[in-house]
This record gives sequence, structure tokens and C-alpha cells, in this order.
Amino acid sequence: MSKLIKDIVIIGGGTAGWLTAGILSSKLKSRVQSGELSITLCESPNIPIVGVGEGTWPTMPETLRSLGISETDFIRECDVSFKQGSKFVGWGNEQSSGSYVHPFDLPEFGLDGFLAHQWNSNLYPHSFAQTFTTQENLGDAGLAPKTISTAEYAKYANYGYHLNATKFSTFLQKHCVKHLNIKHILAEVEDVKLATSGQITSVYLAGKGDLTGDLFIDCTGFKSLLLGESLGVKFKKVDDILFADTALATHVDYTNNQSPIASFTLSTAQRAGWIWDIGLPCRRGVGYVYSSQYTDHQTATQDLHQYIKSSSSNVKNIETREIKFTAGHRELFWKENCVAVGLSAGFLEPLEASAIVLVELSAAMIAEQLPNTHDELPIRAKRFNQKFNYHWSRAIEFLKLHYLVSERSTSFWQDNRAEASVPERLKELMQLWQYDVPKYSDFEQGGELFQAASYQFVLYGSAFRSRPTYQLDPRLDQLIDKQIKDNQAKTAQLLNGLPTNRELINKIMEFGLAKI
Amino acid sequence: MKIETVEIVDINKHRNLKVDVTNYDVAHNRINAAYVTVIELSTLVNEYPVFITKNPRDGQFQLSAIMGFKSGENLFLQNGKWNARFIPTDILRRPFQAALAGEGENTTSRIALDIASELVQTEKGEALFEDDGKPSAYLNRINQNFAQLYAGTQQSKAILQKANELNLIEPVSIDFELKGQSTPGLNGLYSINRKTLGELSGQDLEECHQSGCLQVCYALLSSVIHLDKLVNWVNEQ
Repeated sequence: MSKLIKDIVIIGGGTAGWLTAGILSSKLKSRVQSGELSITLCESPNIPIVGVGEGTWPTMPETLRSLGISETDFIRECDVSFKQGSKFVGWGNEQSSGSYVHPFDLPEFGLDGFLAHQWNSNLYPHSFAQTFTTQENLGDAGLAPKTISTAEYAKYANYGYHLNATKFSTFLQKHCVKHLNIKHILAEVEDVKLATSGQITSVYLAGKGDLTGDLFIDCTGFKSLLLGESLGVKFKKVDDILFADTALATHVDYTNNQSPIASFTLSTAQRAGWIWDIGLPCRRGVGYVYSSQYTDHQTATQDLHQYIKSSSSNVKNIETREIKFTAGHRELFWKENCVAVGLSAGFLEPLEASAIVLVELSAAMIAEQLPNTHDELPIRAKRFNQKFNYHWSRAIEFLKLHYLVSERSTSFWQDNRAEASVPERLKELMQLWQYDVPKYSDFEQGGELFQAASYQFVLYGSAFRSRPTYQLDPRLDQLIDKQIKDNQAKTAQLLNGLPTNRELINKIMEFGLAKI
Repeated sequence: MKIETVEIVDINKHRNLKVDVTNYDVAHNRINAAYVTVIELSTLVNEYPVFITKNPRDGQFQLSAIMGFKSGENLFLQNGKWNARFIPTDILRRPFQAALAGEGENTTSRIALDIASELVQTEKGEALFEDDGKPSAYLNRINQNFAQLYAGTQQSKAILQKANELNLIEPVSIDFELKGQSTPGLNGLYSINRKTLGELSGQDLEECHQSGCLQVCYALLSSVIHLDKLVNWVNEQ
């Protein structure tokens, strides 16, 4: 038997590093507690985290719960508000300020496709999301997904979080070190040492010497110090598909400390990209994601200021931070005994907040596929690479879909619809969806990142309509009608009973949520 | 109830008002749960099932006597009478309510009255004031009710917090067969986990006993039996 995998070394703190540490430790709990496995996280005392990942998926509540984190503590310490989905404003065309919502709730039977089929075959008075979920209405009313009497992590509507990424990292760090047996080292990595086999044997830490390990997890951000720089895994650009390469990020104050907190991430289309707007309890995080091929820094700054002004906020003293990036990912995510998680694995514009969920999925798969011995590494790596190549490709396609169904007319948007920029598989799906609706069977994998329902929300939120060539079995009519009525009743009840996002956050600050 | 009809009790305004205390079958009593406190628990548990619920305003645990299985159903109301020897204080104080002192006003606790209540009249009932302008014995009783509710609320909070710290509270779901049909159960109820309670030992047990929490736990557990009575009342209707 070859050498056992016993020491896991994570290089890099930040959200990716600490979340990975926490997930591994909680999933491998008994082995970590007994000392069979050790998890060490080493981070530089000097490198600041990128810290703009402020939106999570609805997977996060369960992830935090599994780490043994109190939701009340998390909300109080990380400037958290509740996120119920994303709202795309002005993505249709320049003339109207129309919008659509991609909510976190899935319609019941949504994956089978017959709700979407029926909705496309008939004239319904409300949007697809409104007809089959409560969440478009809840979010538009600025409501929370639960009340102060609802237990931690329980809910009336599915939710994720908006949060302060810097505070979140610190919070996770404290929790991981105190409760999850993670060893924490503050040191600069000066060198990565490779064996002749190509494996990483150790990292050399300034003033501390060699830190050896069996499996290294690269959470070093854009730098990709281990996987990219040391192991030479190339970066695969997808900027021919997703054009954005710059983000101008800033913070915007509320008019007063009781201003409403938005329940959706707002994404508003611009001439060369789109602006995110994320409402935390204490401020908004706003940023313009654009392609520098289609606009310049000055115009982009003006557009961003214009947006902030139109949302009735002051643009005085606004400082922006420019972040340059290339859309894409590593050709491999796992090579030899090194796996990249987070920005070191790749980056896509935050249109659907895919960054943090990819960290959650990566960490979970590393735990599931953790090799017993060094001999197994190539097999585990192959499995991981297959899975994450698939995830990243599907994520890229799903983001592209948002651009494809837009009818905006500036060259950025026109070029985004040019056939040469559309991945083959997405082209095929679009052809099929002329007549069919997205269904479970259109996707290969369980645990799909973006499911059929997500495609339905975006397609039918836009002006795109499928034109079914046949009628559904009439026996389904009754079921669908009932579902629509039930959803209406549930919506009315929730609109009546739920507090606003702001009200609930205030109450959580004052009273906390109960564990049960 | 419109807010404008609630007035702070005032000798000048309300000298002639009376409250009919014989009629219980009025709107504000048609509720299926009543707020109760630990002070009155020992008598109430002989007649009512009492559970832990959450205060919708702040999510904190409190006690509630269950009186019906659906919103607005009070099974203790029978032919205009209240079929129990003891009535929760929070019911007895009606149609009065606690008044918050306004800015710059004297902050001693005062009470307010919903003058639109069907119980408020000038003909028959208990007068609020004596002829000489002193508060009547009835009004003094009402004042005592509020004092008791206030003190009881503080005690209940402390005791339920202790129970929560000791992990004694658990959510319960109760399903019934009413008139031969299963009905949607009561939601949002919590009770005491008998097993955890039985396993308390050492300092935890000592604290639980000293704080009065232990007695409250056993009282709550014993009260569950009265659910059967309520089910029977429904089935006899």
C-alpha cells in the first residue's frame, strides 16, 4: 500500500479557504477528531482578500448549519441580509425598464416541464415566476423569507444571503479554529517544492520552514500559486463567450439606517455590461461589470454614477475599486496532489453568484472523493476534473443564455448574440427550446448547478417563448390549475404575514432567532 | 378593533361607564389560544392544555393555553358562559388593555379601555368609578390583573429561558381526528422533552429546581391531558 493521505494543507484564507476548511472538517468529522486526518490552513498575513463575493446560493444555509454555525451569530457578525433570488432589470431592451426574476424557489413539478409547457401554450396574466412561485411578489415587496418566530435555517421561502465577504472570512476563521480542529498558520509562502514525480511535497513558509502535506488545496485567488504557477496548469479563457473583463466596485450608503433592504440581487443592464446591486443591512454593494472592448473606464464610471444617482443615492465621495479579470477556468482543477478551489480554479462574472456555490460543491466533492492513499490520486483527480469541467461549462452556458435572450441593441449586446460566440451545446438546446421547454432530461447530472427550472425562469422571463407543437394530456390541466390557485393563496398569505427584510434583520439583532 | 376607540381610563371621561362582566361570548374572547404566565399556571393546568409558543413580535418563548383547534374557535365558550373554574388573567383584563405612557406624561402604568367593546355601557355591569370618584373595586381588580401579567411575564421569560438553555424545549406537532376526519394539526407549539427532563442531573437539575423551571415543566406536561377534553367537546358538537 502506498502512503496514506493524512495531512491536508489549504493555502489561502478568504471565503474559499475557510469555507473549504470548514466543509472538509465537518464532513470528515470523526477522522479529524481522532487525529487520523489533519487540516491546516496557511494564509498570508499581508495579502488582502478580493472580498467582492457578496451573494450566496440557497445552498449556504444548509452548509452553515452543517458546520455547526448559529444563524443568529452569522447574521449579526457578517452584515447579512436575506436573498431570495436575482432580478434582471432592463435586460429585454433599451426602451423599457422591464425586468424578470430568477427566484430561489423551484416550482413543484417544474423540472418535468409541463408547467412551462402549459404556460407557453396559454395566455396567463402573470409572469412565469409569479404564476408558479411566491417569490417574485415577496421579493418585490422587500419581504423576508421567514419571521422572528421561525427557527434558525427554517423558512417559508427558499433563501440565500447577501453578506460582507471580509467579515464572513473572519467569522469562518474563528469558527473553524475554535470548533472544527483547523490548524491556522499565518505566513507567507515563499516556495512550493515538487518531488520528481510531480507531486507537491511541501510549501516553504517565510520564517517557519517547510510545511509538508499529502493533499494541497489551492485557495490563493487569481494568483493560483500552486495549481497554476507551480504545477503549470493552464488557464482556459472563455472571453470569446463571456465578454466582461472589468468590474468597478463601490459601496453606497442608504439614505437612512431604516431604508428598505432589497430581497433580490439587482442586476441592471448597461451599454457594455450590467450593474450589480446588493443590499446589506448597513450599505449597498454596487458594481459595474463591463467589457473594456466596448466602453472605457471614464464612461463606465459615469454610467455607474448615473445608476447610483437614479437609485436616489448620493454620488459624492464615491470611491471605486477596479478589478480586472479574464472569464475562464483552469484546464484541470485537480492535478497530482493539488486541487484548486475558488478564484484559483476560475472566475465568471457574478451574474448568477456562482462563485461561492462552486466552492461549496468543490469542498463537498473533495471530502467525498478524498483519496485513501497517494496511489488513488489520479483516479480521484480524473473524477473531480470531469465533474467540474461539466459544472463550469454548464455555468458558462447558463450565463450566456441571459445575453442570448436579450434584445438590447448596442454592439456589446449584438456581438453577444453572434453565433460564433455561442457554445455548441447551448445552440442545440436553444434550437430544441423553440418547441420544447427545458426539462430534467435535458441535463445529464444529478446535482446540476443550474437546473431546468432556472433555464425556464430566464427564458420565459425574457421575451423568448417556446411554441409547443402538442397539447398536454388534459388530465394535467386540473393539476396545473390547482397548483396556480394554491400558489396564489400561499402568496397572499405570505404577503400578509411576512415582515420586511429590514424589519426581520432589526429583530434578529435585538432578539435573535431560536434554534428550534 | 379601531385604534381610535381605545381611550386611556380617565375619571372625567369615563365616570359613568360600566362593563358587563357576565357575558363572555364576545369577539375578543373568540380566540383559540390565550396568553398565560407561570404565576397562574398551577391553577390553569387543571383545566387547560398549556403549551409553549413563540411571541410573534420578538420570537421569544411564552406560554399559551389552548382553547380550540382552529383560528377563532374557543371551545370553553358554551352558551355565553366560560366553562371553567379559572380563567386566564389575560382574558379577565379584557376589554381593558395596557397603555403605554406618551412622551412627557407620567410614566406610571395606566390602563386603557376599548369603548367600542360591546361590553362597555352605562346601564348594567360593574362601574369603573365609585360615586365619590374613587376607582371601584372592579377597576382595582383590573389593575391587579395588569400588575400580575407584568410580573408573570418577567418570571415566565426567565423560566422559559432556563428551560431553553437546558435543551428542554422541543417543537411538537399534534394531529387529531375530529368528527372522524383528520384535520390539519396545531402549528407552532412547543413542549417539554420528557426524556431530557428525566435525565437532568447535578448542577443542571439543581438550577432547574431552584429557578422554578422544574415545576413549570411538570405542570406543562401534566396539562396535555386536557386536549382529550377539547377533542371530545368538538366531537359532541
